[in-house]
This record gives sequence, structure tokens and C-alpha cells, in this order.
Amino acid sequence: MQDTATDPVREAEFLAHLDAGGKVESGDWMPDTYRRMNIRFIEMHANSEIMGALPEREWIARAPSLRRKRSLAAKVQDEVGHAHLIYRVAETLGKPRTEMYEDLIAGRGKFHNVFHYPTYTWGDVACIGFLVDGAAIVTQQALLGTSYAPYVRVMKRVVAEESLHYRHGEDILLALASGTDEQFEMLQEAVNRWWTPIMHFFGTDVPREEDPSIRWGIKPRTNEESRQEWLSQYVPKLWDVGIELPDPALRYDVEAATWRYTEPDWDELAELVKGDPGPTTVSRLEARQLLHRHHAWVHEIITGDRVPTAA
Amino acid sequence: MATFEVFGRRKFDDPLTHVGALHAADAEAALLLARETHFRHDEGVDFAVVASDDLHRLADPTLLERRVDDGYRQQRGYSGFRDKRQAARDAADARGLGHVREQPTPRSGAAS
Repeated sequence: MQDTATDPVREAEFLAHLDAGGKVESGDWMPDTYRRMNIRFIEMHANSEIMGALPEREWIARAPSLRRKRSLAAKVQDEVGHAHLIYRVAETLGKPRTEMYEDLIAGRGKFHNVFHYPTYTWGDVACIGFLVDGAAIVTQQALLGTSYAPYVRVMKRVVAEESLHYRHGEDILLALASGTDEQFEMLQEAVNRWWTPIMHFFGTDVPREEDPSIRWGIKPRTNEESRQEWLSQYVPKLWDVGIELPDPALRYDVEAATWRYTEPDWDELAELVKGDPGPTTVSRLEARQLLHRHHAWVHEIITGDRVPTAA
Repeated sequence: MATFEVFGRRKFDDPLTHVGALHAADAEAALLLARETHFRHDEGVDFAVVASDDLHRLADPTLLERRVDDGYRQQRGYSGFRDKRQAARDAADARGLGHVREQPTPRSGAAS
């Protein structure tokens, strides 16, 4: 059993170690706060990989060609693989994997806002594959600088696979952008739908010194730094192919080297992730519960354990 | 004496990599010997030993063969992006949306 007692002297030493760029291994002594915050963050990341695979999975059967069907299926497999790698990291901090699974299917586990929304057309698949995944890549690349060493090692592998997903997403987006007027409209409408969720994805602009995740060496970059990075990488690519963004205030301020935009409605985000779950959240969780029940026999054969199936 | 396989990590963010094998009476002795044989010149930040008998290798190498063309799982499955981007730009121009790209971006900022 690890000593997790709160000890102000050791805690100060630990924070000094983090400030000096020091890393933490799973067996090392760590303050309760550090362990708790890391579990919450990493578990939410793993949940998001699983829940993020579901909207794309919905489109495997409806993909417009065999090639797209196979690449989408391969991508879904990658995302589920990422979830397993990341759940393993959360486990090294002391929360059993079965407990995380149960929390997720019971609706207690948190996952990223972008996976609470419905998909209507193949244009949504382009947006998830390129823009939403792009936002994930920006934040995951920043995580290569997190302080928990087992997480860094796993993120190196995940980020390498994400570069393939980036290509996959861009390929779908360019096909729609250079297609018929109807395909172009489909893409433009989907971009309009995904704009606010992506602005929300990065979180509110919390100053570096006030963000506990930064203080505790979990996130190396502020929310706003990540959002600016995404805007710089992705907005010009959309503009280049004639796609407009639904924020009239959006512009790059060359003098200040900063993107200006309309502040999204943060209450909407709070409602989505904390309040009553929306219809898509409910149906996605039901899909997750259904898969969990249907696959219980596989778990039983492989592990010899009984799988709790009550949601 | 038993045989132990030695694994080391060069930097904290590297995976454990096989670096060699040695004979030792037990795991504790193997760790000491591994330190002397493989890690006495700052070769890494972490290492581990495992009894060779506990290492199970892939018995059937055909499991690694590709049954079908699965280029879609790899970068090489996606190519010709320069042409695809140009086609999308041309399409935007044909739709009268070429002006959308005429806005300042970090790149234009750097150019000025």
C-alpha cells in the first residue's frame, strides 16, 4: 500500500520537483491531490476515446464506399485501442478498470463535450475526423509534456496513430469540398454545427496561475493556448477551400498575433456535461450498455470472471 | 542458476527495450548483475529483469503477415494531398468562394 497521507513538507518538495520539470512514476510517493486529479483527467480521456468511437461507428454501415467503410472501421479500432492503453494508465494510479467501466455505463463517468452531439450527414463524419480529431491532437500533443511518466509513454504511441487519423479526416473533407454543390453544402452545414462544440472543447480561458491542472503538472498548456493553436492550424485550411465559419467576429489579429472570436455560451457547455443528459448522450450510453451486455460472454470466457451487467 | 532477460529505458518517455540476457541465482542477483553489465555508463534511467522462462514469444510468425491490402491503416493509404487540396481550392473559386481565403492568418502575419 502506498503512503498517500497528506504531508505538507513532502507535498512542497513534490511541487518543487514538478516545477523543475521532474516526472512521476506509478510507484513514487505522490500527494492525494495529484493522484486524484490525474485519475479524473486520465479516466475522462479514456472514456472519451471509447465514446468518441461511437459516433463514427454509427457511420461504418452508411459509409459511401468500401474504402471509406474499411478506413472508418480501422479508425474505430484505433480509438478503442487508445482507450485500453489509457485506462491502463489510470489503473496504475489506483482506480480499478472495472470500476471505470461501470461508472461510464452507469452515466457517472465524464467524457468530452463533443461526443454528446448527434451526427446527421457524412459532413459530420468529415468534421469529427478532421476538426474534432484535430482538436484532440492539439491537446494530446501538449500532453507529451505532462508530469506522469506512464501517461507520457502511452501518449507518444497515441499521437503517432493520430497522425494517420488526421490524414483520414482531411481526405474525407477534401473530397466533400471538391465535390458537387450538394456535397459542399453538406460540409458547410456540418462545420456550422460543430463550431460551438469545438470552441467549448478547449474549455474556458483560465489564466495559467489559476489553473490547478497546470499547477499540478497535468496540463502543460492553458486552455486558451490550445484553442489558439487549433484556430491557427485549422481555420486557414477551411478558408482555403471556401468554407466559412459561423462566427462573424472571427479574425486573426496580425498585430497581436491572436485569434479574435465571439465567446461561446459557457452555460450551454455546463448544461451539457453536468446537467440533464441530452438525447444523444442517452442513446450513446445505451449503445455502450448494450455492447457491454452483448459482449459479457466474451469477457467471461477470457477472464473467467462474471461481468457485472447492471447499468 | 537461471537465465534472465534484461530490459532498459534510456529516457523516461522511452519504452522498456530488450538489451540482453545474463545468468544469475535469483532476480535480486540478476538486477545487481544487470546494473554492472548493462547500466554502468548512464545507459538509462530505469531497467528490469525477467526470468527467460517467463518470456513467451510469438510462436506463429504468420500472425504478423498481412492477409489483405490494409493501406487504409497506414499513412501510405492516403496520398496525393497536394492535388486534392488544389482541386478543392479550384472548386471554391468556381463557386465564387475564393475570397474566403483572402483573410489574415498567422501565415500572412509572418509574411508581412
